[in-house]
Amino acid sequence: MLPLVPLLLCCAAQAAQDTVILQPDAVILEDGSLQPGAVVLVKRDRVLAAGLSVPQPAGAALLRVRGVLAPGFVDAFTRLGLADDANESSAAVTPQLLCADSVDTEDPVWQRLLEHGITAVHLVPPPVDMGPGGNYSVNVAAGWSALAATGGGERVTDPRARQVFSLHEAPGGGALASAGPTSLPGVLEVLNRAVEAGVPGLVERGALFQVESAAAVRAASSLAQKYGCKSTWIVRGDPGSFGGELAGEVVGVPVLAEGSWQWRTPENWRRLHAAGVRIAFGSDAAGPDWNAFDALRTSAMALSRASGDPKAALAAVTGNAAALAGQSRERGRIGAGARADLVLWSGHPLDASSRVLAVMVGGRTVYTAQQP
Amino acid sequence: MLFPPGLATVRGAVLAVLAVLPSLALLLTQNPPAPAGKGQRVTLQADAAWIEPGRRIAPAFVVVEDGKVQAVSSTQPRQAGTLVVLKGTLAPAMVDAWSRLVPADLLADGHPLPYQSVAASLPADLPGADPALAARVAGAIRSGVGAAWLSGGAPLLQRGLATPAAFSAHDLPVAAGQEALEFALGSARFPDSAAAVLELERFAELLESAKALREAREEHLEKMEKYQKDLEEYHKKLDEYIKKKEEADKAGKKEEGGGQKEGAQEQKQEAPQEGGARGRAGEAGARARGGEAPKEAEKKDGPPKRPERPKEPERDPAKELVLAALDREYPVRVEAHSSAEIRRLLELKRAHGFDLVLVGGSEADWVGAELAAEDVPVVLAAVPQHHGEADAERSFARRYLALRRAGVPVALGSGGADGAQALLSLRAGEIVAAGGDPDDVWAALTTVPARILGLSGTHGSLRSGAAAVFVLFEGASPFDASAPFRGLRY
Repeated sequence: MLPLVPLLLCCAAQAAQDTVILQPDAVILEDGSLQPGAVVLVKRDRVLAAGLSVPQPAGAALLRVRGVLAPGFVDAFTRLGLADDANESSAAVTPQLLCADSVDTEDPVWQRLLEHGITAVHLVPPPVDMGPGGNYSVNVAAGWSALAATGGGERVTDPRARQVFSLHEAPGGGALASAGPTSLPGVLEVLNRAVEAGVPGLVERGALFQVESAAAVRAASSLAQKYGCKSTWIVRGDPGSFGGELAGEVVGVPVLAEGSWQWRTPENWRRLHAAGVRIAFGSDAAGPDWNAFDALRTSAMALSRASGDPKAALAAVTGNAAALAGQSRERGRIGAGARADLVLWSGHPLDASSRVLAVMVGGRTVYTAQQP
Repeated sequence: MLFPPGLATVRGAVLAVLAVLPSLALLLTQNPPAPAGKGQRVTLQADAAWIEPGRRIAPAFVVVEDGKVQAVSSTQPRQAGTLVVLKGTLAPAMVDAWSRLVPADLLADGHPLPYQSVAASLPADLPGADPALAARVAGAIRSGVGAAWLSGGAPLLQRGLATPAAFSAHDLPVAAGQEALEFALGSARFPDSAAAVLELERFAELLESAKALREAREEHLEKMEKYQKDLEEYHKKLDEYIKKKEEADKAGKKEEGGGQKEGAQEQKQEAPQEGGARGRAGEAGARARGGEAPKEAEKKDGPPKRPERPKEPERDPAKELVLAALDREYPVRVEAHSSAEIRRLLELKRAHGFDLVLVGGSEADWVGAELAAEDVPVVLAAVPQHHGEADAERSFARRYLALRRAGVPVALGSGGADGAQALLSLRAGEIVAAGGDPDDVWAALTTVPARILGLSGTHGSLRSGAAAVFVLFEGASPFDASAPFRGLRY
């Protein structure tokens, strides 16, 4: 109980005074390093400062907590918490669709996400939808992704995070002509026409391209360049063969879920990391029954072992994942100006033995672990 | 106080430097550290050591010579040899309870035989004997694996005799420990198919037919004993007959000459040959020559009837292996996944009394109590080859934890995929992340597989006589991915 009481007190303290200094055993700082003795200054829902020496405003309460304070994990792309697929199979171009409209605010999945230290999820419509009769159709311009907080007040905090485009081929024939093209040239043609006709918010918020080939990456890059929009990526398939095209970019990569463990996968991640790709892990999961909530953390552990770079591995579930959703200033870091989405762990988050002790979202303690 | 405070500090510093000077000298002479050569003694000094699950020392000094651990202690030994200082905690290398670190011809599955022997298929332990295999073994050692079960993996119900192996200085597998007879039941080969049910019954029939072979052999032995007695009796009677015949011939010779004597001598020469003949050739020859003898023997005063040699049961090397397993010369390792199949397997174990190791076991947790009651260990695969294991609702970690709660001994294996050793510690970490006790999970990677594979004397724990192959980790445990972890060998 020792580590938990202070955080609860913190909550109580905040009711009385809106500025607190959290002093855990160590803090994961913005660069991903573990800094013993560091403190975090929180005012209302924001972090004002973090480090070994931070200003101590008069009247701020100093609260000592046992454990390691880390930024809340962000699931870079998922469908958890959505009432349906958030996809449109009747048309290939649906940029007006809002993923946020499908959010089930009462879903018990939000609580389970909190218990695993995940404080925000980026809800992204899936790239390929199963059409009537089992035929595949491709939704090229899928609409808006959304960012949702797993705890605290408002559930959907950004209903227009990114415009999502899917550059996937769906070979095999039988697709409905009205639903969309099944080959990459057809996908690109539809995409160009859609962008020329105007996609709302494309330049302001940027595009999220879901790709599975080098050709798709090149085509999307030239399109983004032509229209002057920022691009982020989700890669599927075998990114080891084309990931090098995305050096320096923030790239969403599906986690290792049960049944998808292959020895090549961490090796592919190692290569992406070595090529300068900023990996962001997404659970890519749908439905509350999917119970591998640990997959974000265990995938980060696998990336850490494969790359030998624990900071990059931690960024894949914090800073990079937030950047994929256009939230790099707000979330995924403990630094000045960021939201106070903090998780108290019993040790380093990449140590499998560590447990979530308490979770704070927007400066409010929303979860404390049960006594073992 | 002998010294004023300032001087006391200086004295302390001088003494400290003098104390570490020998070590420093040694460090300077062997930087960077290299594997020990033959007859070279090396002492590995680490911050701590995990001797075995739950038993730790700090600091740790591990003396290594000729590829073997000579001593482990928390104080520096007198005859330390070359001192190598390592940052982190030293622990025994993992034992991969299910791998396919076998030569390419076994991987190819070209002409699988139900009685193939993995040990007999391994290359000679010579440099360059199998560079491809050596590269894979070197990868396994780097991933922290020091020994492995080498599964034959033939796409057959009966996969043949497979073996555990240690790794030689040439990075080649060398058979060690306890061989076992491998089977793959239907669910391992025909998921979601009616053929799986048929395969289960084929397995039961195979055990029955091996049992029948044993009975036939016992019956044959009894018959052979009787045959030997009958044969002796026959020789006696034959001698008597020849003697009588000779006497009669002598009497008749006076009248007719020695025509029949030659025939009698011919019979006499034949007799010793038959008496000693146990092979088929001798018997066949005897039959060919004496083919008409029984009919003649029926005649009164004719030669005695030669007993017929009992027919030997047909030789079947595959069934003979099963028979050896039923006689507990080898444990039986069965890959099975469905709970119904595992239950039937336990019935067969009770009926036939063989030693069983269950491999795969996607649904083993559903029958955990029954497995625990029979003390059947389960080997779970980190990287499943079998799609039945790809069940998101019943994850690898949850299955492990359920089996352990039921009291089933569980060992973890990479699962047979090439390169999967790199994932072994990661998947084990997944269990720890899901609530597993780190010591219990570490046992599933070291002591438990070592025991199942018959390698307890040389692998799975840091003790005198253990193979000098280790993992070195800098975090709080081998499951702490925030710090380096690697395999090393001396």
